[in-house]
Amino acid sequence: MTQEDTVQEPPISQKWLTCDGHQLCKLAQAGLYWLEHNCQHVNALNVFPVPDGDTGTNMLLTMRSAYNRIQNGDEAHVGKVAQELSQGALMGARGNSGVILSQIWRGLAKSLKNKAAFTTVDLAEALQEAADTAYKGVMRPVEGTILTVIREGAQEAQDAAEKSQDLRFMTERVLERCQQTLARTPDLLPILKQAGVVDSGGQGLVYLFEGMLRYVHGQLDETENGAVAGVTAVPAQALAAPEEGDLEFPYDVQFILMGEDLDVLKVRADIDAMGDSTVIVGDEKVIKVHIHVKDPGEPISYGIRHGVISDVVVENMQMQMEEIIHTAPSQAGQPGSPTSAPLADEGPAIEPGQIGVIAVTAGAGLGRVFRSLGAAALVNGGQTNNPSTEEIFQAIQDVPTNKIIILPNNKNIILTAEAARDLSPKDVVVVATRTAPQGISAMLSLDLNGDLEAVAESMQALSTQVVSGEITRATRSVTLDGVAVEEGQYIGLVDGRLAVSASELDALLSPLLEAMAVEECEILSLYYGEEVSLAEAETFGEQIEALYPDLEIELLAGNQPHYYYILGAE
Amino acid sequence: MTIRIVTDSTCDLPTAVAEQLQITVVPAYVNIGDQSFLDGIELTRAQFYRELEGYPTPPTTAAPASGAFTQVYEQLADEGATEIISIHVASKLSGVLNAARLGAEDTEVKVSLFDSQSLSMGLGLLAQMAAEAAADGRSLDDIMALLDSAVRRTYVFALLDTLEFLRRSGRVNWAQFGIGTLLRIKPLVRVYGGVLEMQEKIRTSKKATEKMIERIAELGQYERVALLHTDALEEVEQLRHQLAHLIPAGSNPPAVLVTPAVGSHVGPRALGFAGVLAP
Repeated sequence: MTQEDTVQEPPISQKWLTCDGHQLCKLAQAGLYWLEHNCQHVNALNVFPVPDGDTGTNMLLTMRSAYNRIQNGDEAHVGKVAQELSQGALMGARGNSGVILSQIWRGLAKSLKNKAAFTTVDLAEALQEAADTAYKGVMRPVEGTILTVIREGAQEAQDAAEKSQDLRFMTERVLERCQQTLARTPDLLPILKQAGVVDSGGQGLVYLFEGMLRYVHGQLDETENGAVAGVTAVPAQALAAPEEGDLEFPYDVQFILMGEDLDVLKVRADIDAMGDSTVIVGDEKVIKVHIHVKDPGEPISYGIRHGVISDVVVENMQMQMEEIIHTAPSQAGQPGSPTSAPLADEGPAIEPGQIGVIAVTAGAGLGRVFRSLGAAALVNGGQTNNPSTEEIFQAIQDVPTNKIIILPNNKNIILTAEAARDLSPKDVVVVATRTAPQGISAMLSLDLNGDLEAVAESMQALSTQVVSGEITRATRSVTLDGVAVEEGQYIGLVDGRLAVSASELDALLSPLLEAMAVEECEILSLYYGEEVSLAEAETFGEQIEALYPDLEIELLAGNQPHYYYILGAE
Repeated sequence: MTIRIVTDSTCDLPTAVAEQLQITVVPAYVNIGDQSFLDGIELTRAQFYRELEGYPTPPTTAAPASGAFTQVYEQLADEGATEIISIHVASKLSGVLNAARLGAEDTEVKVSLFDSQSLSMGLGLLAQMAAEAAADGRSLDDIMALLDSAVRRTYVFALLDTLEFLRRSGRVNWAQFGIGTLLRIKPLVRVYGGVLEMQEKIRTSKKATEKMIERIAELGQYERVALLHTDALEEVEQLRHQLAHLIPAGSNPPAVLVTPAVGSHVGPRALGFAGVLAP
């Protein structure tokens, strides 16, 4: 473990025996860069034909949060860098894949804790720990996902460690194995095969590793369109999702510097000193510069002094973040969904010792319903817009009581909520509601002054006593759960499962209500979305009334994006 | 020694029962618009529920004047009462007991005040027990001890059809109920120890009644019960049927139409139950 082995900058020396903190930092940066570059491809790997949580965006935001913790550091101790990455990923984790990614970093960090630099043997162990931790991060691990990819990658690392002490050899082998595993995910998980895609989380992880290996090979500049050999092919069908090219960021500066005899190492050091999130890749003729700075003029002036610059992009990062969070990529052309739901003043002011419920909701109307039923705080989120662990964690910390119940109200937010729970020193229980009506039903058994465990238990029990229906449009053609849908068709989900499809909304209604078994119900709550007018909703309600005259229909503005109607039948 | 029992109109005792047990009922006020009515006298129960939904403004209530109590106490003393027990609606929910206290301070007559920590027939059953004990010739101390014991075993449940009336009443810390008016919800409330508490928030009538029966039954055996309603006679008779196993043998509790002073806070179509558990 000598200095000579570790100080080489990319391309990393032929004999790469140990990796120190500086190198891990660069690897993470390269992985982040490559993930960012391919983010839309990952987003396009969407199994469900509904506007779903965006895996690529979620993993990118998670990884960026991880990298933000180390970008300004100058830590040589690899264990400490890994620790920071782990912390950052934990705080920024959003979406199921983001949570699993954060668990991978956590496992790596745990294993590398006391290492100043790691060898192949250390890395193989750490990857194993990462895989184990990732599996523990989910209640019911499913094969054919990112979990399988990391597990088999870790196996490959073990094998490679027995054959060579070269980290380059190991990373090449691991990546190759991960790519093979990813290609096999449709065989392991039928839903992927049905949809004709590989697992999106697994793909995100592969991009992350691929970026790292590209850094090792000094190839990170060959990145046009991501169409590089070795990159897992994305099905053409999946690419139908909006493709907006590279992401652009406020206070984020990117340009291409062209010149003669450029010194990549010096340019990187100079530019890096100006800000953070630096990614500088290239050769003596062309260098791609990416950095977040306070003053965009600084790196641009620097570029002009050293050559010719092109493809200059300067953006405000905050605005970009909001765009990611609030714009539905699959609903291009729609105005952006409203930002966080304002708190209705009908809700309670929670006092210390009471139970504070945090409800994740999309749409101001649904938020008001939760508040009126006693929710202490709302976190804006839903399909296409999964809140981060940190957002939920922050809400937990902000509610002035130590007894917290979280209602995720979406299957893709349950893991994030659980990750936030694990971070908080407070007593937090996640009642795993999968739809808004389930959450609303659960709220009915909230007793602010009750025993946390007992209240959570009864909320859980009550949440299952409602049948949820959701009406949206298919974002692409697919056959799922035996239901064939064409892109643009109306689809109806019952308790989160695709149940019916139709070209006309009117034609969808009757089979959906039948699938919900509403004839056994007394009350039907109809929450209409932001794209539906009150008059339209009233007409819709009358149609339901005509079909089921004994049903009491309750019409409420949900203001939710993407879903024309959300129904709860009891 | 003659002990007489005084209560207020929120006790919901049927007039015949009160007369038979010589219980004096002081009427509270029900205000509708700018008119004020003596509860149950100037405004009958039947009339109130018939007209309730047509009132231009929601009814409000007021405690009897303290002077009304003074007058009643002195009249009873004139009739030969040596002791008076004045038992009233929970002081945490109403100002009636305070009016009675002020009324008692204005007279030489010896009045023992008692907080029923209940309302409606919860109060009514306690007043009835006290009156029966007095008729049996029990001493004041005995009767007060009896009340002290019984009050800890007295529960009132109500299944409301709407939240509006309770919300307007200002009788509860509304936010703490964690329940708004956005959704149709049937709250099951309980009064015990002078406190009105939310027990359940239920969406469907079927489950609501099931829950109410479950909550009533889980407390144990009752020595006295009463059935209550606010213009929901059919439903309350059904409830009587469903609660048959909890009704003490030999007793045939009436289905009491709740007095306007209480109905103003409960609203129409509510079902209720009052019971004193066996010691």
